[in-house]
Amino acid sequence: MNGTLKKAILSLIVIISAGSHCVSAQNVDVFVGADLNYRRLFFNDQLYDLLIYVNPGVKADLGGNWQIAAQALIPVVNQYGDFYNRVRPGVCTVSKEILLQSGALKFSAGLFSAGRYGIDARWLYPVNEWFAVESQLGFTGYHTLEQKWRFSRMDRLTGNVRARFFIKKASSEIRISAGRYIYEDYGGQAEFYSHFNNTSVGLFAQYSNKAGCSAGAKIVFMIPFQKGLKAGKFTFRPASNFRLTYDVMADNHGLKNYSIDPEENERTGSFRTLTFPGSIK
Amino acid sequence: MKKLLLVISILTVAAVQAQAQQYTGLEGLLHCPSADMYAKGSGRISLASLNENSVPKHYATDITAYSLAYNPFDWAEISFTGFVRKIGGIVYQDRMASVKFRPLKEGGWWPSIVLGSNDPLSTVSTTADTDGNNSMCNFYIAISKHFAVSAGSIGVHTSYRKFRKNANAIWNGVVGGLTFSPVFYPDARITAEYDGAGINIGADVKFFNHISLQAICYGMRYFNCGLCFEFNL
Repeated sequence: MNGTLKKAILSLIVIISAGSHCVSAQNVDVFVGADLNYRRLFFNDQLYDLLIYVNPGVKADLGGNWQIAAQALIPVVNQYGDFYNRVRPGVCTVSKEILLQSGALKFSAGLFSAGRYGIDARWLYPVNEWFAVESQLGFTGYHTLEQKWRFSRMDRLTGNVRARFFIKKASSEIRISAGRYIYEDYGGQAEFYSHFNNTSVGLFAQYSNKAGCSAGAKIVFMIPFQKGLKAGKFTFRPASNFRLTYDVMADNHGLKNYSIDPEENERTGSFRTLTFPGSIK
Repeated sequence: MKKLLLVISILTVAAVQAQAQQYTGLEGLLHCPSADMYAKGSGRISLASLNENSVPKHYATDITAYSLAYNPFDWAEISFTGFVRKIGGIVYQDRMASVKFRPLKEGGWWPSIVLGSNDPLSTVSTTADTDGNNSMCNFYIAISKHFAVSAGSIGVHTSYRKFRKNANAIWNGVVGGLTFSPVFYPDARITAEYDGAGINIGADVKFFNHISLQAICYGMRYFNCGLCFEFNL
């Protein structure tokens, strides 16, 4: 048994036991998705270099709108180099949502995506059926698994504000946001989303004071079979979605932010207790 | 006379046009645009093999094109296309976006009209013929009208197209063609077109509502073909 497989099995055991040891957990979801990365940095005999992770994860609902989530990234196709051969932790967080008269708040702490760790607060306020305001504030550091797990100081402040306009007749949405992002750049983004039955497709244009202008597309595909297989309080299912961003400038640094949930996406957002618009699940 | 006009009107509106893919992923003829559009929420993944004579000269080899396309509205189509070629063991790729908007939808007595462009944007804007940027850049206005006949549906399509680079000027000007879909299999289509440089003929057929095949005899000499998977988003 090679090292990668051992680590993969170990990670699975850790993830599942993390869920099972939540004695007060009401529901525990065990899910598996895939993380697709592709790049074209070198002129070679391939169209793209690929890095594909299988990312099993667990989410435990602890009641009172508390949730813990953990995820592992297991490389199954790696054309990026040895650095990416390691099994890595994905998003591993504990979070709490609070419903307010003016929307909902969500506090999270733990390991986020994009190699960030720290604390995060989000607010969603659907003002009416067609307009909502969102904001996010984070205090994070960088963590990496090279030879050993290392952490930078947790001293980076990020935050943004987003206005969302839903056009019900066309099942479409316009989002305009601005803020400070994880590479300490400032900028803004305009997005247009078409929401279909199972898929949302978005087009965006953005400006970052460090990365410049860019544009591209985002697609979020909701994976069926979410009822999964039930065994007691456990549900085994595929990941809720597959999402992809295409950036024409292929710049991974402009307006980059992190996710606080292993299944976070632009269609269903970050909140479990509140969605905008309400028809999108 | 009124009854005759009514019958013609109903037949014209009811004419079913087979949907076929261009190598851009957008609805079109073979090497020319048309004013036909896919339905809202339609998505396509396409793969095409293009003879070097049907692509800009600087490529100097056959091209494999892949594309992703979707319709956010009935009146808009958007796609991303990659043109891939392999020279000396090295894979090269050009990327382009395509957009198409329809201000007027076909009705009983009037045609559909669209405005569109392939490769309108570039990270490095240049008109140099040897440069790979904006290789396919062109803008067009297209008009299409369909007529139902006893044997099927006939489409008449014309466009005015302008390429940005002089090397592609052979495809400039008024282009267009005729399409025919038989009544016994409306998801099949044969096309004859003039693309500014010559006459092309081709055929499309869609199987199982999701898979389209296209075969083209470009310039009556060279073979192009395409495969497209269509789905509802």
